[in-house]
Amino acid sequence: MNIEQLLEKYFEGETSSQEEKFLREYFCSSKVEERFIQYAPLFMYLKEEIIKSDENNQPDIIAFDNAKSNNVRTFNYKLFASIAAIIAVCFIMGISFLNINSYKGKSYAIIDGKYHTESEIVKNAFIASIQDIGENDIELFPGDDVNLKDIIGNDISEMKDMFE
Amino acid sequence: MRKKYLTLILTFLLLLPALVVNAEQMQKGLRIKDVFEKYGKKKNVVMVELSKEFIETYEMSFYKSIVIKNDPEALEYVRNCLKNDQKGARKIKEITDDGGVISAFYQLASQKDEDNKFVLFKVNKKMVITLVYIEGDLESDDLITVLFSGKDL
Repeated sequence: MNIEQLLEKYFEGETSSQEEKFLREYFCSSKVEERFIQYAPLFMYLKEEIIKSDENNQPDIIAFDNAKSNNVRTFNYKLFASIAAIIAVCFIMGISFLNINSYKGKSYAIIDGKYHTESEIVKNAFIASIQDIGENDIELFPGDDVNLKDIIGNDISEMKDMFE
Repeated sequence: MRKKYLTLILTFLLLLPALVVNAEQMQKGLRIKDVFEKYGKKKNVVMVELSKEFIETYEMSFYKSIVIKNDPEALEYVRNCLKNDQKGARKIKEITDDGGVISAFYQLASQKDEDNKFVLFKVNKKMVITLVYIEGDLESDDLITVLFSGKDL
């Protein structure tokens, strides 16, 4: 190949990769003519860059292993699942505790599925249940000839006091 | 190390509900407890639980009642529960008819250092079922006085 023509083509941007490779090989050898010696550093530099580029484009098996050993973070599904489970448990327990603490320590009545803590409502519900137990049933309770209607009636002030 | 730490936290959180003891809960193992749980929030049902601070003046530590209106299935269920829980109990009073128990007052079996436990049950002609469960230091006579009399203890 004619070096002078190749050089002209190169600087015109018309050389093929094979021709460029030829030029790099030529200028890295010891057989460079004196009239072309000025171009040698350019092609020697290009050759070095190409070698470096080829090395970087190798499959990253080694690089990947290095990443792991250097503690480069990868997504840890197990850790994520554990944290998510803890958060879910805390959330559920928080709701449960809210429900418990709403009524813990308080009297309440559940009427047709609805919670009531208002003292008047709880009182009336309580009174109704006690009256149901005692109504018209003398023999339920110990004692002789006790007229429970008279005793129970509306005279359960003892318990009413509890709500005041 | 981090995994062990996380496992410990998770285990602690899962066990936490068991460690939180609610002193106001009914004695475990009683079948009538299931009546309150099963029917307490249903329609035509009134359930009452009084707080400890309310009732401790009357030597009670726990009071819970449920009134169920017109539910034959519930009546059968309650009677079965009572049948189970009355084993070893002192029957203060019990009235039955052909269908089964229609009213009852039991003092359930309890240990020496435990509070006394009482169950009152009634089903009237209108099919209204009333079940009352009480725990306390008081005796059965005192209980009747507190619940049904205007007299002071």
